[in-house]
Amino acid sequence: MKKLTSIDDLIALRKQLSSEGVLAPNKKRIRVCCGTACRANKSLKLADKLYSEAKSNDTDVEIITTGCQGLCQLGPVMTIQPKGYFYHKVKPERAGDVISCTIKDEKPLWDLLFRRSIGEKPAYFIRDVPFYRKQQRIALRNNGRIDPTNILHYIATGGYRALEKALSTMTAQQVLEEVKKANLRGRGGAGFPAGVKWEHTRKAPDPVKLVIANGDEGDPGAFMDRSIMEGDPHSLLEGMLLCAYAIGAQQGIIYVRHEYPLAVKHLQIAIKQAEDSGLLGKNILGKGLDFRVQIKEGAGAFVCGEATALVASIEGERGFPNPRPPRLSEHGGGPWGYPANLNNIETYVCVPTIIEKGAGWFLKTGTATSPGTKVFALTGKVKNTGLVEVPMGMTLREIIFDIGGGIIGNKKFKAVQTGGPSGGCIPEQHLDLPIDFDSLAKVGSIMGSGGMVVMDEDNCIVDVAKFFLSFCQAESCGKCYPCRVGTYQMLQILEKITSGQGEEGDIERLETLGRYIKSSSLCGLGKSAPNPVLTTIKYFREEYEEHIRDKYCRAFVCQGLGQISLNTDICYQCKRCMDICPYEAIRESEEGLFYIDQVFCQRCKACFSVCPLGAIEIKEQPVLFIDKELCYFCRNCINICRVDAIKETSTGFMIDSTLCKRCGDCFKVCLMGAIKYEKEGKLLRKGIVAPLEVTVEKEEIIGEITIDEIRMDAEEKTCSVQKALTFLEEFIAGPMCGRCYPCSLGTEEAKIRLIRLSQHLDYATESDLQALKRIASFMIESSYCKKGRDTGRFLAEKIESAEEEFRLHISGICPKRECISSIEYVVNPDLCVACGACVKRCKYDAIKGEAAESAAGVLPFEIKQKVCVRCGECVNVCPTGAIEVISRIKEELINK
Amino acid sequence: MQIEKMQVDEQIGEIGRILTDQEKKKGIVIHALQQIQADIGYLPEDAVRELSRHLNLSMSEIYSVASFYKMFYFNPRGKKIVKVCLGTACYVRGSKKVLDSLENAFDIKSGETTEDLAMTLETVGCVGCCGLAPVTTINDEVAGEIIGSRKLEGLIRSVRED
Ligand SMILES: Cc1cc2nc3c(=O)[nH]c(=O)nc-3n(C[C@H](O)[C@H](O)[C@H](O)COP(=O)(O)O)c2cc1C
Ligand code: SF4
Ligand code: SF4
Ligand code: FES
Ligand code: FES
Repeated sequence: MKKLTSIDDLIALRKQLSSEGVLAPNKKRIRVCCGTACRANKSLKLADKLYSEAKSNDTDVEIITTGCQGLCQLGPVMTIQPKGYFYHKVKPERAGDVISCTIKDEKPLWDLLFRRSIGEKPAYFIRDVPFYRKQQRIALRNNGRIDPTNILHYIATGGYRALEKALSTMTAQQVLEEVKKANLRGRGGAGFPAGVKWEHTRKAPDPVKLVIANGDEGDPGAFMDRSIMEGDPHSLLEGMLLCAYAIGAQQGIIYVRHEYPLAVKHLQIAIKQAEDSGLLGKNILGKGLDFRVQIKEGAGAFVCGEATALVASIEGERGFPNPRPPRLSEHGGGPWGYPANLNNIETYVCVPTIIEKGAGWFLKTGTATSPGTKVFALTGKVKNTGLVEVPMGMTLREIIFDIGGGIIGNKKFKAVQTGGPSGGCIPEQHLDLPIDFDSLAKVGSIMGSGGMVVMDEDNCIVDVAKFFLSFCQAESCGKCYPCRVGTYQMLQILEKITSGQGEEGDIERLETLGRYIKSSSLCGLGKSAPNPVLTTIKYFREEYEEHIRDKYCRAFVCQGLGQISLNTDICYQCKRCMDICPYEAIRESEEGLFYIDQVFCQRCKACFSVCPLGAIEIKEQPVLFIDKELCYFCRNCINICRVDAIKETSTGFMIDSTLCKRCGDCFKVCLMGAIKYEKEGKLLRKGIVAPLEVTVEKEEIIGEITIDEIRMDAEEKTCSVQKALTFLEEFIAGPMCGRCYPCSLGTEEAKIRLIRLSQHLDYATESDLQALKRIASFMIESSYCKKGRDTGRFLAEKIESAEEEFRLHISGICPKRECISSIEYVVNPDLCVACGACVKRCKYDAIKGEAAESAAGVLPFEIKQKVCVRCGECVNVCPTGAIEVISRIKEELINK
Repeated sequence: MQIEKMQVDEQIGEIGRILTDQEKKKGIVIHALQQIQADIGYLPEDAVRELSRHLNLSMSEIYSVASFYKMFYFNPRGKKIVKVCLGTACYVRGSKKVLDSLENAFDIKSGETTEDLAMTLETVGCVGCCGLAPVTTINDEVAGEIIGSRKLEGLIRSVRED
C-alpha cells in the first residue's frame, strides 16, 4: 500500500475509495459476523461457504467478515445489503440458500429472520429487531460493519478523519479542550474525566510521554473491549493518536489480556497496516507527529488492570499495585518513570467522533453529568445476551426488558449486577433508575467496565455474592493485609452461611469486615471487593437471614440447606434420583414408595436437578425438640436415633440440633408424643424457645398431718418394721421441721436402716438394730420439740415390744408376711381350679398356665418369681384361695 | 524458540529506545516466558535457567515474576487443555455443573492433568463469549451453551477422542 505523506494524500485516498464503491450503500453485500462468539458457532466456515457459493454461482456480492455485531447468543449472525435483512443462527449449510435466494432473488429466508416467539411476525430488517432498535452506537459505530483487518474499510467509512481535522486545523491544546468540554468520562471504571487526565499528563515536564490503552478487561462477564479490539482496531489507534497529539506523547502501549488471542492478532494487523500507510511512525501525514504503538500481552492477573499494577506488569515485574502519588500522569509515575496517560479502550474509541463532530454533538446524548453512550455486556438470565450500546440515562428496565427481551423462561427478575466483581447488585426496586456514573454510585454499585449480569429467582443471592468475593479473593495480589486476609475471612463466613453452618452475628461480622477492607486496602481491588457482599446484604438481607436462621435457600442453589423430600404423589418411580444419588439416600419403603432417608442425605441436590417431574421438593428444615413436660424417659428415642443426636442431660433429654438429621425416626417411636417439631426460623426468631404454657391444676390445701394421725396410719400395718417405717416416712414428709439435729439427721438414718431391714438387703445386720435403738433414745433425750420426742418414743416402743420380729427381718423373714421382698406368692395346685382369673388380672404377665374347661391334661398354673412384683392382686381375685403367701427363706432353716 | 538467539532489542521493540539495558531485559521477561511456554507447553527449570543466563537476571527474579501470573505453568500439561469458564455469566448459567461432570468423568480435579497427559482441566474467568454461556474451551476452541446432559456428554466425548 502507498504511504500517505500528507493530509491531502489521505483525502485523495478516501475519494478514490468512494469512487471505487468500497462499502457503497447500494451494493449487494453480506456482513458475516466473525467475532469470537460467532466463530465458536462456525461462522468462519460459513463465510468460506459463502465465498465459494458466490463464486460458483457467479454472483456479484461482497462478503465481509466483521467483528462482533452484538447479538452473540444467536450467532452466527449476518446482515445483508442493500435491503438490510438480518439473519441469525445461520448454519454453514445454509450458505447456498442465502446466495441463491436472498442475493439473487432478493427474497428473505423466513426461518433465518429474527422473531421473538414462534407466534410473532418476524423482523425483516435489522432496524426492526428489538435488540438493536433502542441502541445508539458511538463506540461500536464500526463494529460489525467493516472488515477489521482492512484499513481501507476504515478509511472509507470516514476513519482517520478526526486525525485529519486535528492535524490540519487544531492545535494540541484545542484537541485537549474539546475532549475536556465533551466531559468524556473514563469508561474503565471510576469515570474520571479523560480531558482532565490528559491535561495532567500534558503538563508533566518530561520530554518523553506514553499513551497506554487498558485492554486488560479481567472483569468476568464483560467483553466490550475485546469486541472493539477485534472488530474495530483502527478506531482505537486513531483515539490513541489523538491523545498522543494532545499530550505530546511518542509511544503507545496497548495492554491486552492474554485470553484474547484474536484481539492481539487483529491489533497487530492494524498496527502493521497503519505503519505501512504512514498513519503511525515518524512524521505522520507530514505534520511532524511521531507516534508508535506496541502491544503488551498480559499473563493472566486481574489486578493488572489496576493502573499502577499495569505499569509494574509492563516493566516486567510482578503485578503489584503501588501507592500513589506519583500518579501515572506525573513524573516518575508511569512505566520506567515516564508520565503516561492511561485510559480504557472504549474511552479512546469515543475520542475520534468527539473531535470530528465536536463536543457539542457529544453532549447532546446521555445525561448532564455523564454524556455519551456506554457499552454494556448484557449477560446472565436475559433472553438476548450480547453487547449493547445505549445512551447514558436509559433505565435498567429498558435495557433488560426491551433490549434484552426479558428474563429467560419468563421467570421473576431478582437483581442485576453491574460493574463486575467490584460492583454491586441492584434489586428490582431500582429498575427504573436512569443509569449513569453517579446514579449507580448512589445505589451502591458502580458502572465499572460495563458488565451487566442479570439474575433471576433461580440465582441465590448469597451464592452470587460468594462467587464475586471468591473471584476477588483469588485475584488479590497479596500485597496488603486487609485485602489478602480480610477477603479470605469474609469468604469463610459466606462459605459457612451457604453450607448451613451460619450463626447469628455473621451478617454483622461481614459488614464490619467489609467496611474495614474498603477503607484500608491499597488499591481499587481491595477497596471494592466487599461491594457485592455489602450491597446484597443491604438489599437482600432477609435472604441472608433465611440461610442462617432457617437453613433454607429459596433459590435451591446452596447445598446442605433445606430438607429434601420426595413427593410420592408426583413420583412415578423412574429411579433417576436413585441412580444419581451419591449417598444412596433414596430408598424404597415397605409400601413400595420411594423416600429419602434424611440420615444419609447430604443435601447435594443432585436428585432435585435430575427429577423430570419435580417430585423432589426442598423445604425449610424443621427443628425437632423434646417437650420436657411429656417426656417420661423411656429412652425409646435414644435407642432409635442413628446419629446419637439425643443427649441425656441433668434436666432431661435433649436433641442436639447440630447432629440431628431430621429423619423423624424418634418422632414415630415416642409414645408420649413428647417430640415435637417446628420451623426452625420461627423458634429462633423469638430469641429463645418460647416457654411452654402449662396450666397447673389448683391443688387442695391439706392441713398439716398431726402425730396422732401418723400413729394411726402406722398402726394399721401389721409388721412392726413396717409400722416404724410408715411412721418415720410420714413424719419426714410432714411435720418434721429439720431445725435440730437428732431429729433431722436421726429420722433420715433410721429410715434408711428400716428400709434395709424391710427389704432384706444383703447388708442388713444386727448393727442396724442397735443403731435404731440408739437413734430412738437420742431423739427422746435431746429433740427440741415434742414431735421429735414422740417419734423417738414410737420407734423405741416398737423395737422393745417386738425385738424378735425385727431380728427375723435381718435373716430375711417377715413373720407377718407384709414386707414384700421377703415373701413369695405360690399357687397351691391342690386348690387351683384353673379358672384363669389370676392370669387375666396380673398386669405383669407373671402367671403362666392355661385356663381350661376341663382340668384334665392342662399345664398347671405357676407364678414366675422373677416377673412377679408381689402386688397381691391375684390373691384377691382367686375364688378358691389357692394363692398362698410364703416366706422366701424357710424359717426352719434359720432356726437351725 | 531458541533462547540464546533471542534478541533483547528486537523483542522490546521501539520503546527500547528510551530504556536502559537493564530495563529492556526486565521488560521482555514476561514476553520471553510466554514464548518459551508456547514452544514447550510449560516452563521447565532448564529453560528458566537458560533464560536467566541469557538475560543476566537471577533465577529468583524470573521465578518471582513467573509465579505471580496465573498463566505460567511449572509442570507439563496435557495434550488437550480444557478450560471451563467460571466467569460471572457462565456461572449464573450453570458452568459449575459442567466442571463437576468433567471432574467426575476424568477423575481429576480442576488444575490437574490426567496421568497419561491426555488432558488438563482448568477454569478461567470469562473467555469473552458470555453470550454463549456456559462456555468451555478445548485447546482454545470454544464450545458454547453446554446446557443439559446430552450436550455435556457430547463435550466429554469430544474431549476423550483424539
Ligand atoms: C482491580 C482493578 C481492575 C481493573 N481492571 C480494569 C480493566 O480491566 N479495564 C480497564 O479499562 N480498567 C480497569 N481498571 C481501572 C483502571 O485502573 C483505570 O482506572 C482505567 O483503566 C482508567 O481508564 P478510564 O479513565 O478510561 O476509565 C481496573 C481497576 C482496578 C482497581
Ligand atoms: S488491595 Fe488487594 S489487590 Fe490491591 S494491593 Fe492490596 S492486596 Fe493487592
Ligand atoms: S440431595 Fe443428594 S444426598 Fe440427598 S437424596 Fe438427593 S441426591 Fe441423595
Ligand atoms: S460475535 Fe457475532 S454477534 Fe458477537
Ligand atoms: S463468563 Fe464465561 S465467557 Fe464470559
